[in-house]
Amino acid sequence: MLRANQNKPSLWGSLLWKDFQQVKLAFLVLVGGAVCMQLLLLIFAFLTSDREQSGPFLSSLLGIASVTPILLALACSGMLIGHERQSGNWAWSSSLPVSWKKSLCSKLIVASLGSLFASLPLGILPAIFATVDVVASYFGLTLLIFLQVIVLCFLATLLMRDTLIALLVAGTVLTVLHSFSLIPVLHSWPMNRFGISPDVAPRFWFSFLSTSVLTVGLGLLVSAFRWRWTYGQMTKIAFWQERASAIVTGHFRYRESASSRPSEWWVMIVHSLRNSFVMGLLVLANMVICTILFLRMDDGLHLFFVLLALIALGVITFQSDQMLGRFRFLADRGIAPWKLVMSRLAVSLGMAFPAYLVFLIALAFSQGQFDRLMLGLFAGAIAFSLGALASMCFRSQVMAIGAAILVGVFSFIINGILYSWVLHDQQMLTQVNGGAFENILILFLPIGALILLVSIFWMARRWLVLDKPNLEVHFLWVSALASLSPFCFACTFGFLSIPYSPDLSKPVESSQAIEHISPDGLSIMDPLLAGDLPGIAILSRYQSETMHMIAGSANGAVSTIRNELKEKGDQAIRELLEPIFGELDRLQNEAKVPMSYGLNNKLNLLIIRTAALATIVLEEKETELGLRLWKLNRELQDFASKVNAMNSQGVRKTAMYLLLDLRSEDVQMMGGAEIYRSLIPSVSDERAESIQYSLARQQNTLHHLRLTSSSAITPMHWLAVTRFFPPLLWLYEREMVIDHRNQRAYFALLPKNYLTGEVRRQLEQRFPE
Amino acid sequence: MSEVISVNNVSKRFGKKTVLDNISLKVPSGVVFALLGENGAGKSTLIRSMLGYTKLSSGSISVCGLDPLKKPLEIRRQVGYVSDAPGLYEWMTVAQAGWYASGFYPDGFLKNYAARINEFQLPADSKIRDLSKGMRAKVALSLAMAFDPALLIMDEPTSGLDPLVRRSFLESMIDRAAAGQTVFLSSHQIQEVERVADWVAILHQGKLQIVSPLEELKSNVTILDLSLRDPLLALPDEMEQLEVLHRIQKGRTIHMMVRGFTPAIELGLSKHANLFEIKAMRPNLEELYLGFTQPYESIQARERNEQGKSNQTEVA
Repeated sequence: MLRANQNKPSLWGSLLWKDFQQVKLAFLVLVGGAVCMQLLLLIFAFLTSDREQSGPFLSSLLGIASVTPILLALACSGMLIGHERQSGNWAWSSSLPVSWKKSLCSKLIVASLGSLFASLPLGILPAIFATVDVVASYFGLTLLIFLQVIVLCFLATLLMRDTLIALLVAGTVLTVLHSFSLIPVLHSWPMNRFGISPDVAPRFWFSFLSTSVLTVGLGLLVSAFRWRWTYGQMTKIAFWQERASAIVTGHFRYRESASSRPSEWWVMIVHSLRNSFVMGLLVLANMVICTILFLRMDDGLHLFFVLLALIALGVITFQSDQMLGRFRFLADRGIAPWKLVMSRLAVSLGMAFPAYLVFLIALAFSQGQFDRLMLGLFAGAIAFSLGALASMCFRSQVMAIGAAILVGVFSFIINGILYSWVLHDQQMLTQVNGGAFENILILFLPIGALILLVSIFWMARRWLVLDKPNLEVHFLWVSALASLSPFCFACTFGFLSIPYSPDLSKPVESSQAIEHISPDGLSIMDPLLAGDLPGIAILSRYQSETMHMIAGSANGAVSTIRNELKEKGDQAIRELLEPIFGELDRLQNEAKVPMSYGLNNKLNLLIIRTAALATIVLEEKETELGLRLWKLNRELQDFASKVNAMNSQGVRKTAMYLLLDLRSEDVQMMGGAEIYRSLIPSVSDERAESIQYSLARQQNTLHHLRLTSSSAITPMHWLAVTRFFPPLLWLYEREMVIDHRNQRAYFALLPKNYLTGEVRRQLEQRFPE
Repeated sequence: MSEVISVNNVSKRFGKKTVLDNISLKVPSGVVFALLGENGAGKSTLIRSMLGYTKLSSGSISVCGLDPLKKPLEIRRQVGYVSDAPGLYEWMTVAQAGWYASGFYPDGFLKNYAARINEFQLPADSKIRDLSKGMRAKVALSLAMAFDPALLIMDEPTSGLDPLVRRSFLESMIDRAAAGQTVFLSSHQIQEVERVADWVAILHQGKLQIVSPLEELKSNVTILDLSLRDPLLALPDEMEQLEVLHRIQKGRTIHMMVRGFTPAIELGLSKHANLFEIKAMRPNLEELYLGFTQPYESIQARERNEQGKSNQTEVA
């Protein structure tokens, strides 16, 4: 309520309050969403504490913390400049006695300081789990990119009338500008697990370009803001304006003389093309640039950008109709909602589908990933439909694209977590069954896209007819339904894909096949590369490639050492060993101070090298030395798990996989399976069930499992989902039986009456005792 | 009487199109000044030029003794401005809009604003997005008047207002003028404006047709309806003494708007054999407006064109 004696705010108070209120919702949604994602990742990391989560977990935490401020910068530019200009608020604000300088300062303060302060909570988890210098490096890099995004997006939204086009153009300009400095970074990207390597930031070109963009951009921004605030308010920048009007005039002159009038469909399609063709081309151009730039990276970032482009193509479907409520013109003329939707979808889909299909096919040929073609196609369909639905439900372009991206990322993370969680807790099932369940999930993905597309048609009437259709709420529940439905369907009907009565007499051939196709130099890593060890879950393509990378680095160490051994013989082993002991002593002395990025790398390298060396030494029949090296490896692991468990977790596991891959005769030479008791760390994360089941998979370590596990309870018994959702249990049972058909000992470990039905009957027949 | 606004030989061109063509006018203080013109005549451009939103192609403007392009902030502190489409923040409530704007003006703004919204019966806690078009216009007016500006410039301020509020609003403009403040408004509501305007300017296709005190204009201009016995005969010589602003001839009747019509001329015309009836009356503002926006020269030119076309047809 307004009171006459109310205290009036100061000029700065008014400006900052207004600008903050403008972006408050975007701050809340983006930061809240990002914090939720981080917490979900944390919960997932705790649920699967020893399952290859260190790299992706930490990189995801840092990634979310780094990307959110940039998304906030985009949202702030869109809301504070673009939306204000489009809605006419700009004209009213500029009629108040406030100078352009103060207005610009207020907007920059809210956008930059507000975004950074709002992003602070996102730094808490990375600060806990990563080292200080890593967090600081990422913070510096994020800040640099964030400032450039702010400046360029502010500038673009000032110059261009359409906010979405402006943000796209700014993004493209920034990407292209930095493409030269990014290219060298791309090679090292997978090694650093996330984004641009922190030590790349000081690179000359990157710094030079960043400084140039900031300096020139700020100068242009100040000039453009002043111009737009004063006498440039009504000026439109359009290079094709005069030419276009001439064409339109000619067109209508022709139409006047034409005897037949155009059909309704023709008019709608032409209208739709004029609405979104230019913007669609811009999005496609962005898609091509980002694909070219990021294609060389192995972690699927190019796919992320392409999916982002598909969301943007979806968003442009209805955005021109939404602007200033233009759809009402068509609604008032009695255009059927389905016709309007069809004409709009035809144009945006007509641009998105061929471009995306070409991209997928090119990708499949270049990387040989034909198995991913369907997954990519269906994921693209969902991304596009999500964008299209958002453009119908949200009036503001910025809100539509923000909501679509946020929901898309959320559903990806939640699906990923659910998928990994359900599969991952069935450690013995991940090899064959992981693929089977994934295929089932892919099969049900179109249902998600179908739900979204049907909803667009369903909501069209409400959108056109009602004054306040409140479609934002509908968007949320429909997108949640569409996101979760493939997973729910896969869980419910997945068991139908597995033969109910599998042929248990057929032997497992996968390991033999893998041995045949593996190159000689990689023989030591066969199970690891093939994902054949049950403990290695192929959670996603990303993780699988991370494993390749780790395996590759270990294998590199193996080849180097092997070459040195050939040249120097036994002497070389001792020469190699001495510096390792020296390094260990030095590291232990430095453990009092926080571990730096460089020290972590050194420690990880030592763990890998000792494990690889121990393996080779045992091959050379140097049993005593091999045992010593394995003990040293355990010491290093114990030390690493104390000083920085998260950063060394992946490497420690790799070492363990090398240990588990030892030949039976090597294990016997070292003292039999009992030796594992002293070589596997007893308190660290890798002690958990994944390693135990890995051991169970190996004949020579089964005894160890029996010694250390008083009761072998399968994870299926822990899970309420599988206990009380029979279809999932049937899926697991059947897959498990296929996977372990030859392992009598494995079944002996299972609790009594664990298996049910036909499967149990067949197994009892096979292993009567 | 000092001038609040002085427009000197102002021209504004957008590309090849001339929107304002050599406009000159002076607005004295303490009056209600109405700017009339058809859609696209250049009214909004002229008003935006007065506030420093548009760079002029030539000429100069002075508002409250200040150059709008050089001193835009000082002008905004002294001038209340209501645009034809006030872009208020839709997420703000009526009260928040006032609280926000009060930060830029001296003390007393909030008190005045509260009084205005009470007067207009606006719901203080309603969001702008939930208000009708007329209520939004009332909020914009309240904001523009709350700091009691020396000059109030309004572009179509009464569009969307209901008749009662429009009348009361326009009458309040008279009070402002009586208190020595100046009101400059552009409007299509000619009948309403006529009751309050002291001065009138008519803009047509970027050219200023007339600037004059309304009463003076009305007293100088006469509408003549002449009934002729034979339309082919020439008009009396007395007609040469009149400045014809507007003329339409239909059969034996001529409808004219003239300046300089005196009783002596009326007497002379009444004696002419070809005229059997003469009706002379004072015009209202609407008739004046129509007269000036359809000037005699343009009608003559149109008639000549039509005559030429009919001749060509006959020849063919």
